[in-house]
Amino acid sequence: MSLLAGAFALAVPLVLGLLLLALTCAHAPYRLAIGNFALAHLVGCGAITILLLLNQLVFGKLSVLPVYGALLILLSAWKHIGPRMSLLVASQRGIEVPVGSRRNATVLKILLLFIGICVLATTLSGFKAGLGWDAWSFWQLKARAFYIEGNMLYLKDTAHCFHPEYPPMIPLLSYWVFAHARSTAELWPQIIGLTFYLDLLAISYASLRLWIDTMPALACTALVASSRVVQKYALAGYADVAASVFMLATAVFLARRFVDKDKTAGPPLLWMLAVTCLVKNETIAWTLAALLIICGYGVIQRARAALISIGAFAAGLLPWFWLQHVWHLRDEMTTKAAGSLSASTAFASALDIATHLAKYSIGIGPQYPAWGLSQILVITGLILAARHRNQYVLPLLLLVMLQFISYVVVIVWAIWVDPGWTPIYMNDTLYRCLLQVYPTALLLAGLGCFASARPLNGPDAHATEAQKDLAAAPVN
Amino acid sequence: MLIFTKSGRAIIYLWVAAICVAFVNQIVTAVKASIPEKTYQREKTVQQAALELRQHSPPNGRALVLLGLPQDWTEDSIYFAYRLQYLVYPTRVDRLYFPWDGLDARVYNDIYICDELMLLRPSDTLWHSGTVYRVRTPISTSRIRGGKE
Repeated sequence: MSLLAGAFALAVPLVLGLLLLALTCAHAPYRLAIGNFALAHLVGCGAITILLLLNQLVFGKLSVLPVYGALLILLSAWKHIGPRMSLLVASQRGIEVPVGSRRNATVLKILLLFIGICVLATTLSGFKAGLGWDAWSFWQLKARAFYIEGNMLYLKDTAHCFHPEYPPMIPLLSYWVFAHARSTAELWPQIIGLTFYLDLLAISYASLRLWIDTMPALACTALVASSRVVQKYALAGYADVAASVFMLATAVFLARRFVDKDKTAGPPLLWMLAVTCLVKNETIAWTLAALLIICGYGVIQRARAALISIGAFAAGLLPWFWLQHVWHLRDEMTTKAAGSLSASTAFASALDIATHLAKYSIGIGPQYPAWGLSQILVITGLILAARHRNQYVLPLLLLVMLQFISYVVVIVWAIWVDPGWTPIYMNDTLYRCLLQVYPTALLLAGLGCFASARPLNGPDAHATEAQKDLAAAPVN
Repeated sequence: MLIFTKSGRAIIYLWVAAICVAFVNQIVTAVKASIPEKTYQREKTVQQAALELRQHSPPNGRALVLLGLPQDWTEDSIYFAYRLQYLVYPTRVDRLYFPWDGLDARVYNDIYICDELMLLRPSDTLWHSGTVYRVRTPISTSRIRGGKE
């Protein structure tokens, strides 16, 4: 019974997300149904987080009822939502087999089989390894506390709660499942992690297919699926894989909205701006970087999109920001006095961190073959995109660069405050930072290497038609 | 597919094939490999401690893990402290790093002493495993402060 209830709870974000997307999007965000399902799951997870936070703020406790209330309200508008829902669900299914090439079909089957093996292996090894250190020291400990106490007051227990200021999506999603399954078994956070891993693969593939052919899109997805860093953290109960998929989806809809000038990408972009900031501190940085880029495009294109985007971001973050403010949940880095590092030492630390980031990025060891190939693809993609003045790459590259700058600044600050943690920041943290931007970097690589460039000042067309035209267009 | 030539694509697919082999090999090794004995042992220690603590400590109880005697804390001891905190919630687990000045030992249901307990020699140690020891009867502040009996 507990298993059934838990499985039911895992399905609710998907249903809620589908209803919300159907309500707000007149067109399916992706041409592929798997992309729409994954995006709906992300939106549903964000909506559940916001609803649980609102319940905590208004009633002083956590409850699953507001989510079911929202579901009922949405279902009552089924007459309006139903036809749109069928658009989402009935989008193109499965994989397009290239016509007239038996060899391509064989390679395609091998790639599919490989991705299947990756998913199976990630699942098996993830369950065997269990939750990771950060999961039981704060991410999932918070979830247990929320479930046992029935509220989020554990965050105020400064003597015991580690990082109370971290965004609450992951603990609240675990709480959501615990509350249904009536169990805090470590299995549930791991399954939630698995759903985000599957979302990552689905959104990677569906996003790449917007601009490039089936085969390279599937090859890039296989790289994501097989990357050791993704596999290691997928079921560890951490927020990093979830962060990477939210960041990727934000980047995709940003590029579609402002490079393709595809207005149908507007609502999904707003959803992503609203919920991505609830996953991790790094995703707040990513969302702010996205807003900065949107403002730039807004000025250039004389669009009001920037204002609406800032509004969506603020609306999504508001409940959590409010709770942080009322409960005085402070980042320990900003409340501690800075250490005794001099400015020159801090600068040396920045260089050291940048060097480490570069070293990890270009590491092509035998144990990380997928990682090595990805780096080569990214570098090649950047060169080719620059040669062909590929506009798609610009916002993605800007996002990744701004994110790297934020990593370096935050980690230098952290080391400045507490120099004792330097080795931990240098090893585990940097590696996970790379995991967060990895899928977006790979999308950038795929676009640079395999997509037709959108010509500067090219004609604006409806996205779907534009994508078809671009796929068939000659190189500039 | 406008950028790469056929041979370029062939190289990419070969590399992807190599990744398949390397990754499957890597995962098979990871899945088949047993958990390291040290990890297994420390997990067994903390599970046992959590079981006993849950049995005799009230839900709102408090336990303390003392870390870092005589020098810095070890990875094993910090693992013990955080893992115990996760397993026994809502019993709160405090951590205190050496030197343990200002400690009021009377408020704790259990005190666990990690790292080089032998220097402390508590007579009422019930069990030990690896570097973690538990003292059921709260020890006096003076004994804590002195670090020796």
